[in-house]
This record gives sequence, C-alpha cells and structure tokens, in this order.
Amino acid sequence: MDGPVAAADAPGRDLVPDPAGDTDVRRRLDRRFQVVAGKGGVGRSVFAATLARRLAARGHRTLLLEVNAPDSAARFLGVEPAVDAPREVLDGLFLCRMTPAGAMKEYALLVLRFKALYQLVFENRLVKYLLRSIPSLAEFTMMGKVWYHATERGPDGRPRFDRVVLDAPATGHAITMLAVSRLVADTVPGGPMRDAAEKMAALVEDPNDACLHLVTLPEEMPVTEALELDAQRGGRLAMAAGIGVVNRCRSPLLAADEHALVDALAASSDPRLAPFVATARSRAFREALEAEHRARFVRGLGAPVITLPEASGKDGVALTDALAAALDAALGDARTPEGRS
Amino acid sequence: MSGLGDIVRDARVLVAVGPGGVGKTSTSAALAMEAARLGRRTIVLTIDPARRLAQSLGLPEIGNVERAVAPEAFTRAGLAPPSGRLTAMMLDIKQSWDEVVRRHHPDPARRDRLLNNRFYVALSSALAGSQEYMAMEKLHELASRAEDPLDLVVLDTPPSSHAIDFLEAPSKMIDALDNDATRWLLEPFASRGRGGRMSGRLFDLGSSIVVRSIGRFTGLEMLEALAELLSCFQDMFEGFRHRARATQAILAAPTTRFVVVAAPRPGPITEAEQFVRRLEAEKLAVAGVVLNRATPDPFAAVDTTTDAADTAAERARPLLRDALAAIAAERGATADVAALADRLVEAARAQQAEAQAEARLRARLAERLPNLQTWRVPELNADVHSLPALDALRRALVDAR
Repeated sequence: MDGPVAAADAPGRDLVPDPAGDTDVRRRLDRRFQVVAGKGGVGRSVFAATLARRLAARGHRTLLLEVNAPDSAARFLGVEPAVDAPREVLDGLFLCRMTPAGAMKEYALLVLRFKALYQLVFENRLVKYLLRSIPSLAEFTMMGKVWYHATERGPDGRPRFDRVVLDAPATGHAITMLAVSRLVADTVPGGPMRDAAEKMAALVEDPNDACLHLVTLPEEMPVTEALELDAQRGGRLAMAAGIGVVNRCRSPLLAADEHALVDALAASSDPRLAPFVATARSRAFREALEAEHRARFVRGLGAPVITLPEASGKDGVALTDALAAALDAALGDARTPEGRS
Repeated sequence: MSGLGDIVRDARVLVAVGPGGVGKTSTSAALAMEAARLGRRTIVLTIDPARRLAQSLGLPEIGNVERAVAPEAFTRAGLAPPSGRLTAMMLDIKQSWDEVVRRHHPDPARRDRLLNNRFYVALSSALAGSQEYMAMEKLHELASRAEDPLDLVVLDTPPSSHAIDFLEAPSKMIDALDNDATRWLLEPFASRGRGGRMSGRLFDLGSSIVVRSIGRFTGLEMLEALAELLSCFQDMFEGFRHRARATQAILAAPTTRFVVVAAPRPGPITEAEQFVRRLEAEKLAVAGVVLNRATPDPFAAVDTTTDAADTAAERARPLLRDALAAIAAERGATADVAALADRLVEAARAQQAEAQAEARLRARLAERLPNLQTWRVPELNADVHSLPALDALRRALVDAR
C-alpha cells in the first residue's frame, strides 16, 4: 500500500532492529531440523514452503515434510503434488508427504521385512481396527518416518539431507506428534518401540539441531494457541525455540498524522463522506486489535518475531515469492539469487 | 421466520456446532445470556473457551465445575441482572474421563487399576473422539438431572477440523475400543494363566503369527499394557453405549435445536451447508445458521446497487479531497490529501466488495437450502470477552435478520 507508513509498522521485525538479533534469527532459521507449527489456517504451510525453498537456494539439500495434505506444498512451490517418498521438486529441495496409514505401512514393512507377512497381518481387517484404536500410534509412526529421513545417510556416508523442515499438522496433532516419542520412551517398558522412541525423542529435544517455529495471525485464537504451543514446547516437549511468525499483517490505512484529519471529516455532516469515515473507523479498530494481538504474541513468546505482510489476492508461488521477499527484507538480507550458488 | 430469541425461549437443549474461529463459543454464551434474561435457568457448557471469555463468565481455571455468573457481575458491568439464572461450565477432558470411570465402573478394584494404568493416564485425552464423547456424557448428565433442574442447556461443541466429527466421533471412539477385533486379539492377554505369559488361543497358529507380528511392531510389553487398559474398559462399554443411546435421544428430542455458527466466507459456509444436510439426514432439528462477523457495507446507506455505489464513490473522491484539503489548511497540516483520499476510497470499495461477496454467499446458501433460516450478525469490532461485549453480541443475535 502506498502512502506514508511509519517504519515501525512496516512488515518486518516487531523488535527494535538489532544486528546481533538478526544473526540469532538467521541461526534459528538454519537449524538441521525445523518444525513449523500453529493453528489451522494461519499460513503454516506457506511459511514452511518459503523456509524450505530458502534453505535449498542457499545450497542445502533440504527435505520438506508435510502431513496428510498432498498438495499444500505443491501449490506454494509450483510443483507436482507430494508423494510418500522424498522426491526432488526444485534444485536441492525434496518434498515428501506422510499419512498415518502410509507411515504405519512403511514402519511395519521395515520391522517385519517380508511383504507377504505384512499383508497377512496388517491388511487384516481386524488388525486394522486394533491399530486404529491405539492412541497416538499414527503420530508415532509418522515421527518415526521424520526421524528416519532426518538421520538417513547416503551411500557416501553423508547425511542424505542437510536440512529437514516439518510442516506440522494443526496444533493438537502437532503437540501429539512432537510429544509422542518421549511419551512412548517413558511409558513403554522396553523393546523395539521404546528404543526407536528414545532416538526420536533425542532428535526433537536436541537444543542445537532442532527448533520449533510458531506461526500465527494477529487474531485472538491463533495467538492464544501459538502461546499454548510455546508453553508445551518449553515444557513437556523440551524443544528449542525457533522464531515467531505473524502472517497477514496489514500496513495501517492511515499514517499517524492523518487520523486527526479523518476525525475532523466526521464532524462534517455530508452523508456522501460518511462511508469513508466509517471505513477508516472500522479499519482503525481492527488494526488496533491486530496490534494488540501481535504485541501479546511478542511479549508471550520471548523469541524473535517476524511479521509478514498481507499479500491479498496472491496465492501459490506468487504468495511464496512475496513472503520470501518480505522475509529477506525483515532479516536485512540482500535478495538471494535464484537457484544454488 | 423466528428469531434466535424465540428459539432460546422455547428449546430445552441448544447445540452450537460449526467450524472453529467464527465465534461459536461467544455465540453460545450470548444465547445462554438471552435465555437467562428471559427468566430461564440456563447453563452454557463450553469446551474450549478463550481464557478471557472464561474469566468474564467468572470461570476458574479448573473445569467441570458449574459456576453461576453472579448478579453482581452483571451490575458491575452496567447490565441488569437476568431474571433467570446463568451458569457456565468448562469441560475438562481428563477430569471428565476420571468422573465417568469413577461413576460408572462396576468393579472398584479394576476401576482403580484403570485410573492408574499408564496408558490411561497418558492417553485418555488423546483418544480420538474423546472430547466429543465427553461433551455427550456431560450433556446427558446436565439434561437429565433431577436436582436443581435446568430449563436450557446450551452446548458449545468442541472445535474440530470438521464440525461433523461431533456427531460421529463418540460412536467411533466406542467402536474403536470395543469391537470384535480388540476382544479377539487381546483375549490371550486378558486370560493369561499363572506361570505362563500367554495361554489359550495364542497357541492357534493364526493368532500366534498375528500377535507376534504386532508384538514386533509395537513391542510386546506395550501390547500387554494396552490390553490391560482395554480389558478394564470392557466392563464399561455397556454403560458407554447405553448413555450414548440416551444422549442420541436427547439430541433427537422435539425440544432440541441445533444452531450452526459460521461466517459468510467460502470455507465456513461450505462446512455449514454440509452440516445442515447431515443434521437433516439424521432427522435432527436445525434452527438455522448464524453468519457471524459479517462485513458491513460502507455504502449500504447510500444505495444498494454496485453501480450506484461506484458512482457514489467516484463522485465522492473529489469531494473527499477538497474536504480534507480544507481541514488540512485549517490546521496548517501538510498532508498529501489526494493520496489520502485515494486510499480511503480504495479501502471503502474493498470493504464493499467483501460485503457484497458475503451477500452472494448467503444468497447461494439460501438457493441451495431454501427452508433454511440464516441470521446475519455484523462484525462487532470488539473482542467478545467482557460481559458488556457479550451483551452487545446477545442483542445483535436477537435482532439479527
């Protein structure tokens, strides 16, 4: 939006610009294993896609994992829908989708080794019932797949992926996924599952290699849920904090010195001007509310927060491009060249 | 065509369903407030209230306790206390499970073992369909209590990715726990003999391979702990099913109404339509759909047609510029009034476009479901988390057309 806009209200950092702080943010955006979480509808997937694309563009072999939806990431990257195994969709960027059923099948095959046996057991209708009734088993097997790919090595012995970004499912399921490894490790008496769980928990809880980014909108419930997620993160999840991201932040309609002018307009009783005053008033109200929610998020989170702009009308790759540019601007980065250096 | 006020006056049970994030909880509370104002003893049962809403209703952090919203709270908020009574309760899943187990488990020894089972403790709230099932249990308890009976129970259903979960989740949960498969597979563990780990059917070749394979998948020890949990639950299944049937009867009663709370935006409206069709298929009574947070059309007073509004906006642009220039000159301000005027016009037109898109969605819903009542509630420009704000929402709901 054109027009005078106070610098502090431009999309970017809610904290005072701080070069040292920027390094900290960049470091958090460079961890080996990054999880992107938040309430449904806040723009988690587009941020995860933006993040993953950015990492690949910087020369890291990056895997983006999404849960259930096969075409979220595809839409935001402008590529073919994800399949159940990692597939390179852009230079250095791999995409993989996970479903509970798919992950369970993979894990079972890994454990049972023989496909015939798998079919005898796991495609038995009654066994399917049983497995569905074990709470959190779905999340556990999906986390198992996450761990598998995060620690996978190629034939040369090097890690197959330098960076792994998990586009987590919506809040409740995300918490279950991130908590289930430790839960199983502490709950199950012993055996193959417990061993796997210990390793998976170690990945999630690694303070140097892993972190959790929280995405929200400048609205009540998204901020509340994001802060609750953060409380879990610091508590039972024992995960390091990444950054906070507030999506869809609108620039104020009016600059500071313009409010008085519009207020004075209201005093004129010309009905033809009333619609504009009304619009300005309701916009001002919404903006004040949004600023409050943003501030609550920043205060409550403690971690650095990036605000990304409303990019109305944009979807797909155009939206990702817009967010990538805004992210670069927020970090004070020069725009990175397309593709790997 | 009845208003929400009539519905709140006559129903014994009101169930608010719909996608999350569109004010379902505030709407439930506001409707309950109206009922209390009409002289009814009303409870609103919320599942997932924003913390501030709970505070404004006087609810403590702990759940499952019925609390009255004191008359003093109303007067302090500048409102007349209701002639009926408004109470509220916040559902706590874990506590609800414990209550249900304590109240309905027939065997004290196994009951305690269940309450202490490591899986139960960790996972009872994670059980899919748990929240919805517990909402049903609570509804049954509140609607059928003899002591201090209620005139109206307003149930705010749990937010789920698909509102339809509310109808299906409870029986899915029961079926997941209690079915031929679980009984068949876990019977060896339940009937384990002394000295040996497994006995009986486990020595059948078929189940041996199956159970051993599952054991390798999950770890045999985990399977044992789970088996113990399921076998303790087994004693409760008949009770679960009995109460689930009774709750179904409450939902289907002639004095029960479902109110779908949505917003006039594509996602919520699609879900609302799906839900209405589903309810009607189950022969449940839909009162209508509340379309919350509707965008006001800034040009509504000017004229209703787009063309007229276009013209009005364009004619107003130079007027706006001149008025702003005059004001700026008066104050010695140096503002770019032309740019400001343009921005204001653009913003007003954008808001109008939103309002019109919403009106089209509402009209399409009416075309597809001609017998359906819808109520449009304008965006109140307030976070509905204080009693006065709730009261404003109450009035808007009652007045909504």
